[in-house]
Amino acid sequence: MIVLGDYWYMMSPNESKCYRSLLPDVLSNLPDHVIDVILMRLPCKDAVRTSILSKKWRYNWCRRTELTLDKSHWITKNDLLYPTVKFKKIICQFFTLREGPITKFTLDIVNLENSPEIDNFIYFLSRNDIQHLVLHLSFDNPYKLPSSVFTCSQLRHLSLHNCSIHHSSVNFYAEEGYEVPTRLPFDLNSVKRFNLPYIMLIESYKLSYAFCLIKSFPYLEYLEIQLYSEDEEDDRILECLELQRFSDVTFNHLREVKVKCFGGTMSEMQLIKLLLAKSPVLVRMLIDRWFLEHGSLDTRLKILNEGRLKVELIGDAWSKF
Amino acid sequence: MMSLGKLITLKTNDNEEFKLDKTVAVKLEIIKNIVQDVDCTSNVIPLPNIDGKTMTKVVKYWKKHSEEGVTEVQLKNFDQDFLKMSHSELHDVHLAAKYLDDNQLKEVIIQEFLDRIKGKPIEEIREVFGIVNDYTPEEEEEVRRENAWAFE
Repeated sequence: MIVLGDYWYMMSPNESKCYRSLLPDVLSNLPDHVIDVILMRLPCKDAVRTSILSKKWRYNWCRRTELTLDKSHWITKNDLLYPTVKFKKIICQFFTLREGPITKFTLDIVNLENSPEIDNFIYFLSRNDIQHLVLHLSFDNPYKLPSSVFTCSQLRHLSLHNCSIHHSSVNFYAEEGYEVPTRLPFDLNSVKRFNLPYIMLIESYKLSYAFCLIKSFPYLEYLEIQLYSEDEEDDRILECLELQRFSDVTFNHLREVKVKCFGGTMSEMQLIKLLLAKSPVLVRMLIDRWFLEHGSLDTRLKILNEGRLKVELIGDAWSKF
Repeated sequence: MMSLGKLITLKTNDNEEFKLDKTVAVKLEIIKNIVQDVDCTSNVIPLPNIDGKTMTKVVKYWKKHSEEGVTEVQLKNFDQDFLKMSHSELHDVHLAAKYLDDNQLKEVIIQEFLDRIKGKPIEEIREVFGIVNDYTPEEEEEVRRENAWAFE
């Protein structure tokens, strides 16, 4: 090949070798922060693979500030190792080389076993400026979140799946038979948005836990709840949604509520009434009526109107203005 | 303060001059600042870090992107065409965009670099960009071992 400027023309492979060094290596000479942006937008594996481009590239990927580790990393064609073992090997190699802050991190190990390494891992993140943390942990049994999570001072977004929260002052593990605290022993003033992805209005203790949390977020502005309920209802559910139980709570900053998978059962209606009654500055309530039967819509509108609330039906959602 | 002419002249380091409509030019932070700060009687702004060849491209991009009534599709097609340049030209435009503090153009160039390496095997990236593999086979093997999980 002959090199003219940046353009290549066909020559034999032997000849091309002599000319190769004449080509200005534009990519390697980009400033570090540009290389960082490029590597950040590549899939994690591809970014790490750039380490063998040349010596200059060996540790470039290590500065990546956003990481996602999921099954695509340990389930490969050459599946020689047990996935959990492989996962442990990966995080060990990974954190030996990593440098600088990790601001955004997603770990998805729903199909693996939880392992004590995750504690080290979260400890590591807590000391490296983590801002956005998403943990999808093993389905097997709820993972006990280590206390280092509570020391992530930069944390802005936390998404937890299959975790139990243990803190020196509160044991937060949703299981029947435990006494449910009515609220946390401290208020979490910085929680502005809260998403409860799957709340079953079947077992009252679970709902009580959810409310224990929500009550402890005095500055909550946005709440999203995905409901799941069945026709045969537990009377205790309605009991724990009674207004008088919430005499000590007002959501003074709650401006928007989104209720997903609304099925129209009594307990769901009671929950919505409760939220409407307790949120003086609410601007918008979206009720996703995915499973709602049209036939009984009027009755429900009536129930909502009982509370002297103006309800409008917009598309697939109800909005209150 | 600069006089209120409608045209601004940008002068590159190889003395090429580009006349730009002021309304186009002041959209850029850097030009706006120079227009406000520099006490000059002429409307000529020197660009000591940019050559004429690169500035031609930058101006072409600005003009298209500030055209009235231009559609998304037209801009997309224009960008596609605009980016058909060599790696080093791309690099020069990036430097110019950086100097001119034009974040949009910077982003477009970075995305193009990304597109040029995305999904390509390492050998091909080396080939396309002329990156010299200065590892010995033993060293390369070591790096592969170091990140074994990414090479499976």
